[in-house]
Amino acid sequence: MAGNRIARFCLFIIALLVIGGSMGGCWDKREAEDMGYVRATALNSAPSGKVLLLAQVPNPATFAGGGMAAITPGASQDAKAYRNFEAEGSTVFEAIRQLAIQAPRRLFWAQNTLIIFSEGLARQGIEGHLDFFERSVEIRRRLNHVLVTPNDPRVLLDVPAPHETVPGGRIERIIMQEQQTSRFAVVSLSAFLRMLATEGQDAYCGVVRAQKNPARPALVQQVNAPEPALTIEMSGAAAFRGTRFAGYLTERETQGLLWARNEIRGGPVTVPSPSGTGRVTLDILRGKGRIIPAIQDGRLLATVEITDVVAELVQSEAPLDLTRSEVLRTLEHALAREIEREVIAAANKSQALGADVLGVGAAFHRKLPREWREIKENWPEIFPTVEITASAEATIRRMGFTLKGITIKD
Amino acid sequence: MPKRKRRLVTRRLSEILREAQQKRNAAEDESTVSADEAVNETYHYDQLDQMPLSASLAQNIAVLKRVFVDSPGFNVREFLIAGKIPAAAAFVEGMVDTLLVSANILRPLMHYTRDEPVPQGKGLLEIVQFAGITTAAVRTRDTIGEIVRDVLEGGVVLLLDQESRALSTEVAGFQTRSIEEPVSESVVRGPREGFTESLADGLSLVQRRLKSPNLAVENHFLGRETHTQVSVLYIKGLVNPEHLAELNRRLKRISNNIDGVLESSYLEEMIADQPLSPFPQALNTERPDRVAAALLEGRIAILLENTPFALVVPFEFQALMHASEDYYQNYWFATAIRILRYVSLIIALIGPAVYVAITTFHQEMLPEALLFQVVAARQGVPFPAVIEMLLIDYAFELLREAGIRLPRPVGQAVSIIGALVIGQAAIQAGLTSPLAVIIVAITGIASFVVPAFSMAFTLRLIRFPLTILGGILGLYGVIAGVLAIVIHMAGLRTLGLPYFGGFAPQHVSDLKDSIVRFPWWAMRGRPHELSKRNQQRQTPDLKPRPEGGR
Repeated sequence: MAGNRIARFCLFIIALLVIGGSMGGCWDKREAEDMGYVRATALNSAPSGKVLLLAQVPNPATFAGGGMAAITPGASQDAKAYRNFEAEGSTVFEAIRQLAIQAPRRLFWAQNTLIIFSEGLARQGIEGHLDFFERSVEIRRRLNHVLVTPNDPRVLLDVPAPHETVPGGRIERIIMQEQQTSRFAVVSLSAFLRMLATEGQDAYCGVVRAQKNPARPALVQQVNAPEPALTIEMSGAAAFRGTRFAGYLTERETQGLLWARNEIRGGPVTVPSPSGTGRVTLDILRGKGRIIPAIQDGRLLATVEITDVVAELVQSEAPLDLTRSEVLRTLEHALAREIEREVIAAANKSQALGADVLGVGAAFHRKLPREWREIKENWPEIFPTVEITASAEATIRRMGFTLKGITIKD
Repeated sequence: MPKRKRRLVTRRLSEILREAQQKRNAAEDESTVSADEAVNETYHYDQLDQMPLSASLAQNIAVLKRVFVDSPGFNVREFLIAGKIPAAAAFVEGMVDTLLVSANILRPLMHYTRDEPVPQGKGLLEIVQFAGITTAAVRTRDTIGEIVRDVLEGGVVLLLDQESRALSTEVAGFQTRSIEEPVSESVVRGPREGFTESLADGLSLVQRRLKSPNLAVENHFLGRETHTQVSVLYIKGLVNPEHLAELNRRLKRISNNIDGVLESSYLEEMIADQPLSPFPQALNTERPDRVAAALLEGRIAILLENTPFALVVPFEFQALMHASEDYYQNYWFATAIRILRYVSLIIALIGPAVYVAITTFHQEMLPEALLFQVVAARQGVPFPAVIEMLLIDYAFELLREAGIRLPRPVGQAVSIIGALVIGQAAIQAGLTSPLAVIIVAITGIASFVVPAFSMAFTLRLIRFPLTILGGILGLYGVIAGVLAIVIHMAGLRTLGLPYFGGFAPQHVSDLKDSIVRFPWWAMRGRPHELSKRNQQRQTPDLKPRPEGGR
C-alpha cells in the first residue's frame, strides 16, 4: 500500500537522522583555524616537584603562501612565527590544561614532533611524564623524537634564525639530516619506549643544545640582521639508567654507540694516511653491527662485530696511489681499527655510567637465555665487568674521480 | 469532334459541381451539432477509430470538417477526377508539400485520360491507387480515426464518392533542421552528423550505417494529444528478445495514458527500472554513430520525432562513462582518457566533501605544511568549512546555470570573467578562502569530464549531500555516503540488466572495454549481459601481422 510505503520511508529518514545526530558531528567538530598546533613540547622541573610545560605553537598566518600576506587583513609583516606557552602543574596533563589560561586556541598535539626533557628533570626520572605521552591518543609515536637538553627550554625554543623560523621546526629538520652524520642519536618515542621495555637494554636519546653561535663575529657589523647569538645544535646522546638520566656521550662515543646498535647512518671517519703523512677522510655509506655474547671461564665477554661496512674515500691530505691494492687494503684496515676504537669508547663510557645502552644484556638474553636468567638480577653491577671487544671489517668502494694523486709520478 | 466534347464536359462539370454542393449542404444540415457546440467538442482516437467511413463523399467531408473545425491550416480540396468524378483531398496546409500534392495527386487525377472510361463506385479506388496518383507510398484507410491521423502526420487523404475506403499518401513537406554536428556531443575525430527533429531523417541516418536487412523497427504512437511516433530499432539476431519484449511492454503501458510525449526524456522517466533513482538508466544521444554502435552490441534504440535525442536501452554504468571518441582515437589515448575520467569522477563526487571532512575533523591527517596553508587561508573566514564550501559550490552552480541562459556573445565573457572576478572579490571580502575556491573550481572542471550530461548532473546533485555528510560526520560520513550510493547503484537495473555491467557480475572479457580500451582486434565478444545468445562479433585472428610470418 502506498501509505504504508510512505510511512516506512518517513520512519527510515527519522531513524537516519536520530542515529546520525547521536553519533556526534556538528558539536564535535573542530574547525581547523580554531586550533593551535603544538610543534614541540619541553618539560622542565619546577620547585616542589611540579613540572613546567612549554608548548611551542607556530603561527600559521606567517606560513601562508603567495598573495595571502597582502590580502589577509591585519596580518602584520613582523608577526612572530610562533608563541611559547608555559604552565606549571603537578603532572604533565595538569600543566597542559593549565595552558588553557593563556592559550587563545585549543591546543592540539597531533602535529607535535619533539618531546624535550631538561637535564634536571631527566635526572629525577621521567617515567611518570613518559606515561602521559605513551597514553595520549594525540601523540604519535613514530613521529615524535625524544630529546634531552642541558639548557633551559625557554632559551632553547626561542633561538631566532632566518630559515625555519620556528625553533622546533629547526630541530626537526636537523634530525632529518641524520644521513649526513652519525654524531647525534635520533630516537623516536616508539624506539625509546621499546628500549625501556627491553630487558638488558638501557635507553638513550638525542641531545639538543643552544650553543654560542661560532659564526657570530665579535664585532657586530650588520645591525639589522646580525648573526644570532645562539644556535641550535644536536650532538651526542644522553644515556639513561632505567628512566633516569645517567650522563652524556660525546660525539665520538655516540658514533660508536650507533655502530653497536646497528643504527649507523653515514658520516665521516678520519684515519691516518698509509703514505705516512697526513690523514684520509672516509664517508661511511652503510654498515651492520651486532653484539655476540660469550661466557668463558666464568667471565662474560661481548664482542661487537661490525660488518659490511662500505665507505667512500672523500679526501686525502697526502697524494695516494690507489691503483696499488695494498694502499687500499691499508686504508681499509685503518678504517676498521678506527671503528673499533669508537665502539670501545662507547662501551667504556656506558660501563662508566652504568647504563647498558649498547644492549649487551639484551644480547645475552637473546643468545644465552639460561645464563641471562641467573645474572639479570644483578646486571647493573655485573655490566661494568663485562669485557667488551670490537672487531670490524670495512671495504672502501668508491673513490670519486681520482685514483692517483696528481703529483704522483708514474 | 473536340468542340462538342468540350462543351459537353463543361456543361456536365457545372452540373456536377452544383450537385456536389447540394449534397454537401444536405450533409451539413444533417449534422445535429451547431457551430457553437462544435467548437467545444473534443475528439479522441479511440472514439474516432470506431467511426467508419461512409460511402458518401459529402458525409465524409462534413465529418472531417467537424473534427477539424478549429484546426489551423486544415483544407479540403475538392476536385473532379478526369473532369467527371467528384473527389476531395484533405490535408493540412502547413504540413504538406503543396507542390507534391498538386503535381503527384491533383494533376494526374484531374487530367486523367485513358481509353477506358473511369468507372464510378466499384473499381474507382483501384484505378486511382494504381494508375492515378504518382506518389511513392499509398495506403487504404477505413476509419475516420486513421484518416485524421494521416492528415495530422502531414499526409493527404483522398476521399472518393460511393467508396467507403479512402487513400492516404505521405507528402509531408514541413521545414526541418538540416543535419549538423550535434551541439551536446562534439568530437575531434569522428562523424559530425547528428539527429534532427525529423524522425525520417534520423532513421535514414541509422540505416546508412547499418545496411543490413536484420535492422528492424517497431513503431509506436504515444500520447493522446501528441500522437508522437516512436520508433524502436534493433538488430534481429543480436538483440535479446526478452529485453525487447520488456521494452515493448513498458511502451504499451504508456501508449495513450499520457497527454503527450514531447521529448525522449518523457519516455526515459516512464520506462526507467528505478524511477526514483537520480542515475540515468538509459543513454540519450544525438549521434547516429553511437546509436549504430550500441545496436551492434545488442542494445535497443528508441527514436522519437520532434527531438534530436535518441534513447538507447539498456545502458549500464561503465558504458555511460564512454564517449564515442574513445573508439575513434587509438587505444592508448582512449585508455588514458578513460582513466582520467574515472579519477575525475571521484574528484567531482567527493572532492569538496573530503576537504570539509579533513579540515573539520581530521586535521591530523594533513602534514604540517599543508595544514598551515589551510589554516592560513581560512584565517578570518566567518563561516565553518561546511557552510563555506556549500556557498561556493552553490555560487559555482549558479554561474553555470546562468551561463546557459545568457545570450551567446555575452555568455562566454560572463562565465569566465564572472567566475574569476566573483571568486577574487569573495576572497578579498573575507567571505571565503582561496583554497575553497580552488577546490570548487577543480571539482567543477572535473565534472565536465564525464561525457554523459545526465550522469554529470547526477554527480553535481549528489555532491551537496555528500559535502553536508562530510561536515557532520567527517570521513566516516563521506564513506557512509559513498557506500550508500554504491549500494544503490549496484542494485540498480536498466531494462533488467545490472547497472554495474562488467564489474559486478564480473565478466573479465567485458573489462576489455571498461576503464581501458583494448585494441579492436582484441575485443572479440559483445558485452555478456546483453548478448547471451550471440557472443562473438569478430573472428579471433584479426590482429595485424605479416602474411605467413608470426
